[in-house]
Amino acid sequence: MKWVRAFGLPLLVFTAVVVQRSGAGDFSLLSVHPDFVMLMVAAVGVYRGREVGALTGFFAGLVVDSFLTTPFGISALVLCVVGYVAGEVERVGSTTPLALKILIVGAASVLGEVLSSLVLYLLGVGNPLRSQTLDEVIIVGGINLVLAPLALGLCRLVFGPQERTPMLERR
Amino acid sequence: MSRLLERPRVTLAVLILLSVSLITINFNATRFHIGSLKAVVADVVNPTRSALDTVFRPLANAYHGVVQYPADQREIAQLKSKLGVIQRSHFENVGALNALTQLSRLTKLPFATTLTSTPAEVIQMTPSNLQLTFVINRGSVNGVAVGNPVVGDAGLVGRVVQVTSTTSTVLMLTDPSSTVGVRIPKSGQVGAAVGQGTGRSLMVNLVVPGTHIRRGAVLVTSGLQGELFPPGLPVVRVTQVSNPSGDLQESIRAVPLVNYAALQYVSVLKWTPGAHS
Repeated sequence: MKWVRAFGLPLLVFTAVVVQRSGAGDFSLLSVHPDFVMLMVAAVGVYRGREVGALTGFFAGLVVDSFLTTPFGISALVLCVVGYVAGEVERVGSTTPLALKILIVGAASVLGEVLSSLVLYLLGVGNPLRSQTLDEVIIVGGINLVLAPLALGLCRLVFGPQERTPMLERR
Repeated sequence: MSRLLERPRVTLAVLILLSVSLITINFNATRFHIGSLKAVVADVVNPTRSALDTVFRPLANAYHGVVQYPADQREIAQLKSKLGVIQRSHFENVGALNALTQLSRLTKLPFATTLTSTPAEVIQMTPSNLQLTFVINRGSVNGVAVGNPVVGDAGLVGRVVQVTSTTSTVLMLTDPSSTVGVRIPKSGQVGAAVGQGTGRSLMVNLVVPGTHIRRGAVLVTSGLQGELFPPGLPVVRVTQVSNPSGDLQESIRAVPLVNYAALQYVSVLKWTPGAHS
């Protein structure tokens, strides 16, 4: 399992991107597609903290941006913020209940969707007030909330069990 | 202060700065070759994506089949309706084009250049066993009179046998009571084309044995004194010629040059039998 630990993070990001770009990304509810990359970034943030979450989000975002026609760097910006915000859970410590972690993954996804719309609006690419935006926020947040246990389980597989030391005690 | 500058926050700030820089650079993409960078990433990811596609595609299709079915059905119904409208419009256009073609041909009939004519539309075919006629939308108010020859773009169609103020009835060449005096152009021999009924060839009678006539020849109206039609109008095309031994005339069968089934517009020639003799 050493190699999994060594290459685990890039592997997770790569897997998320590939799944998103494959037929799985074609699943849609009310014409809204799930965002597996955002799910994985939020899960990594929750599992490994703000810094790793932000870095993961940034690099994952760069890969995602490579497939989009939107200005390069938008996904990187949004996902690094999502990873960072999800990592805020480290303040509570590794003893955080699983339910809270799941909720944070869902909430970070909602934030990511809102932020995406906002950034696109600021760049003159999208309109955050279109009716689809609310659907996107709710559906992506909901799907990621449901899939959060799976994503957190993958993180546990790749990074190993979290230390049982609360963050505040570590500092 | 130290809390404000803790490492995760600094990292986030640097990453945001980098992202914003990338977005800014993106607007000058031609100088920084962002496109080639995107292509490299796509080359790495695409092979794996294709493999996963084969796994996920059936699942996605099944999911679509269940969730999207009512919406798809609605869309199919809408598309069918649109297709119907488009097809109707297409058929209308084709019909209009055919009508235009027929009308434009009627305006320059090479065989009736010296006669004045009135274009008319066929408004009713009379599928009767008693008489093969059709009705046109021109009558006495348009100057149409009984006996006027009626032609199509290919040749003679028939003659007017009944006139009301706004409509006229035309007797077809194929009607058994119709007889047209014809001339064989090359030999100058004359005969009489007699209708035999719907779907049957006309018989060309009174052609003397030994007359040189070949299949495919077009016979024209003879225009002899007392005839019902002016001379030179194409009437029929010869389809069969035989001369049974002992007969006093050639046995000739011929078909009208006009297709009655597709007849939509005709031209009524202002020519009355007897008036020009």
